[in-house]
Amino acid sequence: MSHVHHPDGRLRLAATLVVSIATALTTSLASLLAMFLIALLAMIFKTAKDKALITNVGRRLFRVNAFLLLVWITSAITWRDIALDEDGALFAMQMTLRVNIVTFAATLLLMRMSGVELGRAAVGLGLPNALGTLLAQLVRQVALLSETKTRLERAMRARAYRPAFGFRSLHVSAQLVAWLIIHALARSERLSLGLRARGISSSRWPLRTSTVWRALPKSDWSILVAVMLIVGLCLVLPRLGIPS
Amino acid sequence: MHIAEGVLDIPTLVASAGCTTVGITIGLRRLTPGTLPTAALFAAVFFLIGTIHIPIGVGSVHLILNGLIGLLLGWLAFPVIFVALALQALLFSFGGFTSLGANTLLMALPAVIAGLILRPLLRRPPSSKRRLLAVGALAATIGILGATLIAATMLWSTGGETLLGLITLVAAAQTPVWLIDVIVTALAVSMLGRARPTAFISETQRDV
Repeated sequence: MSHVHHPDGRLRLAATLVVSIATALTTSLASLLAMFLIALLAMIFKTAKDKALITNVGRRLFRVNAFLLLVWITSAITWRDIALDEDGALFAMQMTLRVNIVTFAATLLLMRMSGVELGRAAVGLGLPNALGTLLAQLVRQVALLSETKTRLERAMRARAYRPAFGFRSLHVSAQLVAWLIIHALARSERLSLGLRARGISSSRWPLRTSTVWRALPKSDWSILVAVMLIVGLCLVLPRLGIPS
Repeated sequence: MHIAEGVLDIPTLVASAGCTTVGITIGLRRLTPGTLPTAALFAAVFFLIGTIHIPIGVGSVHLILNGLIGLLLGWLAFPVIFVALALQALLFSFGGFTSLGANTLLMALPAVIAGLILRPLLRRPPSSKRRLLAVGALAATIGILGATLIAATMLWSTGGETLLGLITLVAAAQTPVWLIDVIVTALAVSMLGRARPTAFISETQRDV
């Protein structure tokens, strides 16, 4: 059995935040373009042999770029004269680069991170313990409730329900929502009774703590350091005389 | 309704994250290890509601129902929506981590307002079907219109006149979402009010 080591979640999340904050801080096209090209190359390198990942990334990119298309249509073109609005085009270009850089970075750095790991990483970076625990519990409850939702949808289909635009679909969707909430309430009551029956009345948040920073291997730190170096270099590009 | 990462500027992100922090702090005061499973279950419901699609022509819209979440949870809507959006950002790249504060604010603030205004009307069951339908419709209206208004303000503060066209388009695109949310929330509140009238009592009074 092979064991693939994933770097510490806190460092991966911190690296993602560094990229996001750096792209939001800069308005230089040279910096944004350099970051975009590096992120694109890294993404091509990573997805080259993984068809499932290409589909996943393609879907994410389609979603964000569909919104950016609207930004270009509404901001970069003056529709009265059918001409390019230079300020609008510059704004749209900056936004396009930013959104795509962050999408690439988040996909690459947070690849295969679970919701529980995200919660633990976020708590490690200063998020309140209660929120981290809530996130970890959410992952568990989503898995259980989505089974309920699948069962309800199967029952709806068995009664010849086909979703279409009309009052019938809205009524059935409302029933599905109400059923999900009723299931959630009933389940929470069962959970509460179960906890009480076992005499559990803890006031602590049951989240596993992360490894201490000093115990992390150097290879894990290298990801954060590499990202900070690349981002730092891209940010100083305009000061090196490269036109923005 | 998510604002993608990279769209908003730093001052808007910081201001919205600050407001969200205040909301989450108030919400967390109502969260104890005992109420945690209930909060997580409602976060799961909010997460799954986003996967219910209603076909419109060749496309489809997904349900938001933040007004309904506000009616059920009050201030707890802030932490619950925050974690649900964080998971959506991780799994589907909806929104993002630096825009999490902005996205939580635009979903949760109208939800809390809907809860604060309308929940007292549901405290004394049994409510009539007409009242339940009206409360549900109002909650959805506050939820969607509030979210649209906050999103428009954030986009305006980032791009000003440059994004005016986009703001108009986004607001217009929310009209079918609003109509669908009004009908679904009204019907869902009516069904819940009759099947589980205690669903709308305060989260601190709920026996968990």
